Amino acid sequence: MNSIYKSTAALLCAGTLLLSSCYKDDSNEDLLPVNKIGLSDPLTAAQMVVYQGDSLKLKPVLSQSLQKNLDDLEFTWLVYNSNGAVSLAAPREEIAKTYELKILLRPDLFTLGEPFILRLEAKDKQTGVSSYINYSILVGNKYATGWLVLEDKAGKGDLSFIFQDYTAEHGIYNDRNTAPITGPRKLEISTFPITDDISATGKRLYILAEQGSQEYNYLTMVKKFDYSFLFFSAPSVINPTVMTWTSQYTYSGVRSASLGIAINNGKLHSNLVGGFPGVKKWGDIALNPQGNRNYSLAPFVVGGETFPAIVYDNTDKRFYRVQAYNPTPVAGTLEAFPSGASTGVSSVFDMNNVGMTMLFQDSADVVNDYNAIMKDADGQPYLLRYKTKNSTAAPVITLGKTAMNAPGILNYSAAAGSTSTPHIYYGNGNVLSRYETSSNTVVETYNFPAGEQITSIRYAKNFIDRSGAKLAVATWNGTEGKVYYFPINTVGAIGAYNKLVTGFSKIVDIVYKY
Amino acid sequence: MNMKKILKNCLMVLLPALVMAACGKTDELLYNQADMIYVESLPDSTDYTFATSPESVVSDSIVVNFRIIGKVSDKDRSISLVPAPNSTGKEGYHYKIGKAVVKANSFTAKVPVYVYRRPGLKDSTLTVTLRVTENQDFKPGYATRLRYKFTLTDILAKPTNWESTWAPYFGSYSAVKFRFLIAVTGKTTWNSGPLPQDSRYLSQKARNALLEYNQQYGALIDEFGQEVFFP
Repeated sequence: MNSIYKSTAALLCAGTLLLSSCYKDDSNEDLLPVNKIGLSDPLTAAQMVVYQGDSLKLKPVLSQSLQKNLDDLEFTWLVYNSNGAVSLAAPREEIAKTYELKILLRPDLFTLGEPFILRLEAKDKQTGVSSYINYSILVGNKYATGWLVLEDKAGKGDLSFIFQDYTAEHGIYNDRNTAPITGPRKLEISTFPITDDISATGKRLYILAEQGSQEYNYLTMVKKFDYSFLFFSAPSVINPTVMTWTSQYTYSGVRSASLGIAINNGKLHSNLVGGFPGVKKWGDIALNPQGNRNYSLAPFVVGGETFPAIVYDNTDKRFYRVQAYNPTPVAGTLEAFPSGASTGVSSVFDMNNVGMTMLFQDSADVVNDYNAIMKDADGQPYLLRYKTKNSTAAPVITLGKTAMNAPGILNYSAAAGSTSTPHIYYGNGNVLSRYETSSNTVVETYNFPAGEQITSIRYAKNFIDRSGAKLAVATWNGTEGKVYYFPINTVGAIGAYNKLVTGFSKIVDIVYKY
Repeated sequence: MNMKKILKNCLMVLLPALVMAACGKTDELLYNQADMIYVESLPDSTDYTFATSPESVVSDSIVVNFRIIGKVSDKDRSISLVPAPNSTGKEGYHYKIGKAVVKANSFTAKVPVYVYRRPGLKDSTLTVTLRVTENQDFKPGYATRLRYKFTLTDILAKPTNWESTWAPYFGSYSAVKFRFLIAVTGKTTWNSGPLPQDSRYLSQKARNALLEYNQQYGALIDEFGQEVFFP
């Protein structure tokens, strides 16, 4: 019997011991310290613009809590496309197994115009514990940032580019395109990427001309599509003056295109993008509220949060709005602004019945506010100010109507509104004037040499190099085009130019691209 | 030792053994039933008419999507589709089922059903219901997703979704208005909802075309004696 008890006890002990092996040890006592790896680099604070074909070197600062030898660590560099519009599961490619990355930005891997994430993993071989650091890069080329210049060479268009160091490269269009641009008019670039499923998501560049308008690759400036191809059905008359995209969002972090507005032969065509599938092209002519095409739009479009697009009809001398999307027939047509005691948007002047001709329009110094320069039947210039955002509680969008005291404005050759101060800069002959909207006076003028005519003006508030606002003024003296850069101070003063770039033909338009 | 003690000791030995057995790894739960197939297309029916296509179009295809339940295979597998007895369309004359195959390593299949513009369709509407039946590769899947039904005609019929989809853009239906829309837009399929860019374009195109027609020929009058207009 004793042996039975012994056997039973032995079995019980064995069973208990075995059971104890199933017990999960949650104790945190007596843990060995692991090597904590730290990776840091100030370059990760912002997206880096890198050029295709250049070499890239990256070496983050490495720290280890146990001061192990580098040989105890395993390094892996991965790269993947981070354009969510292209893929949310882009393939990862291993590009190096070294601590320091030294690579050539090959075109087959680093697609022009696309964003990428470069990720370094540093793994402790003994513990398997890893640390990571991500670098965000955008693949560009030397034309990614700078001023694009459209020139008229005896009736044919060409492009030049002014780099950030204010050196210029000429003949860019003719260097890489064969189709002629006849009667060049305007450069149109989108400030945010467009997803139209015609070509890869990205910023758009259009060159508008009397004949030969086209869409170009934003970075290489090689022709992509004929103007006609961009429409579901090509317009019978091609005479473009506007091809732009508006955003209903104010903040740069979420700005994205919603509504495209093209004005061709004075008629409106619209385009709608926004994440839904299918090819998006420009639509047919928008009809006015009377159901006809008897209107002629001024070559200006503005848009904002409440009213994504506002245009002006110089025939009926009134504003129209265009809706981005509405599941009714009105989407893509010209619509009157709401009126009435409680919902009306007009008080200072009537958006639906202005009675003047629009000469110019540009952004004002307040977000969503716009200045329009008009002319009445007696030739008196007026400044109309309105906004594109309102609310139910404050529906009125008209802000001001002023008979302008701005000599030469009726015959201006080029103009640009300041988005920092209450000014409009305009040129007449060789005189550059600074008109102050708040005091209704020209507060400063700058005279270029006699015979040098102002042909284009652009105001640029923000630059990649954070060098402050600039006014770029293009002139033509009959034989040579020049671009003067005026640093604009905090009160908007023109002062004196500090950069001059020469060697152009007659400049038609200039834009800052980034 | 009495029986009670023996049993008690036995239990004391067995109990740890049973508890230990509980520490065993559970086998993974894997699908181990026969592979099945079902109709993935939703809606699982369509009304096809040749009347919206030019006379030169004598055949077309309706694509039906299928999906498997189970694992992929390293070889192509066929889907068995059989017309229901109440189908009025004649297989081989009015329609023909294309290659019904789930390709190797694929979960889905697109099966074309070729439809033919026969003279009799000018004044009749045929119905065909294709049913999934069991074969050597698949058993029928979900009971409610085993058929695809289509009607076939050459009669211009009011799209089934006119009131819900097209009426906001084009107003009340008339055959004259519908023929005009087909002619000026070139659109042949009207039984599905359009994408936003398409509805905008169709609306704009139709309005411009009607404006031009009315300017050239006077008002377009429909079969009810009413002037065609778009709201």
